[in-house]
Amino acid sequence: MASSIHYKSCATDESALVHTCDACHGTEMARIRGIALIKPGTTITIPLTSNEWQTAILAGNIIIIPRISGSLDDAEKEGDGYGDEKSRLLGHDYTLSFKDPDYAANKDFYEAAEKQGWHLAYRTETQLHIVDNAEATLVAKQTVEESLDSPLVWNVTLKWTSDTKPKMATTTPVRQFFECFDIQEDSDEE
Amino acid sequence: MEQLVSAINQDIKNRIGGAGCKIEMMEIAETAILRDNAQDRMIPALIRPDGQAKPTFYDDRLDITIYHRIINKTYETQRNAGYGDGIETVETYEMALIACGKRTRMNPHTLERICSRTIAELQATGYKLNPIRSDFNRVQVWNQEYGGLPFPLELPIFLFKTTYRVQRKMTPCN
Repeated sequence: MASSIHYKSCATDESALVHTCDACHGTEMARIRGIALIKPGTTITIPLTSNEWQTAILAGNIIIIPRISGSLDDAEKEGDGYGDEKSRLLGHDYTLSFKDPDYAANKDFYEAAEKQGWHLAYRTETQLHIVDNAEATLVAKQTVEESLDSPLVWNVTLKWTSDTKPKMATTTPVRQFFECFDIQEDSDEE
Repeated sequence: MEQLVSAINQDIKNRIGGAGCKIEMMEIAETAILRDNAQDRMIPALIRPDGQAKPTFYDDRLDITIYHRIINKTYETQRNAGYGDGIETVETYEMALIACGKRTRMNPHTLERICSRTIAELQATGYKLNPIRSDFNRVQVWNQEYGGLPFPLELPIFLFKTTYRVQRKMTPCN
């Protein structure tokens, strides 16, 4: 039987790489405006569905922090290269930092949130960015400045490492959950 | 703003203390028109919700009268501040406190110091207050407030104006 040398290539099918542009779309504006802490194991379907989110919120599997001001830092994680590679990209180190002005009532909440890992979804102008393949660690700080004019807020960071980008979906089906709400027990009707 | 001005007035009154002074603290005056022999003159007056006006003229039965004015109100939007989808808008009121009284009952500089310290030290949640300047020129202050009316105040009567600034952030609840 004759043999031949077959050179392997990365599994990615380069012919499938397409950049999409649309002249009618506006620019997605920045600021992380709200965040959902998601317990690992919770299914998030894209496109988003209101019913799925409501069920998860009521079960305590998604916790919404509706009104924040935040940013995301995305640093490449490089490792040693091999052969002719100078280095290789191993993934990205993400740091999401946000300020939560709902200060006084949330000491117990953040104390508990620091003790577990989270998946998350964060909201920009129209998009929800979903991180469901890496666990983020949460650190909440209560920094107090000297100035009388500085508001006292929670300074929170979420850190994770991933070799894939956050998924994106339009926020519209779940937008109503990023408002200030609380969960109340329904009274039994006689 | 009316509540804040009431708090300022109450604090000033507390700092003046008793000493037998008859004090009238009035709140925010607006400009009303006084028709005097077919000539219109602008005067400050407290305008009630029913449309009736009470002028803030000096009453010599009293030892001290104080009223306030809103000179103007400006807005500044800070797009980098705010939470969620919101931006922050700060309202700034330029205000004036006008005080008139008898020198025989209180030194005008003592009263001015009381008023400006009250404004500087008042603790009012959500508000930032600071005094800006005081004008002790009686004739100038009179003309600014009662433009057109002849200056009636004899020397024992003092009149001064302290301008001050009030800032607060606009929120859904204010």
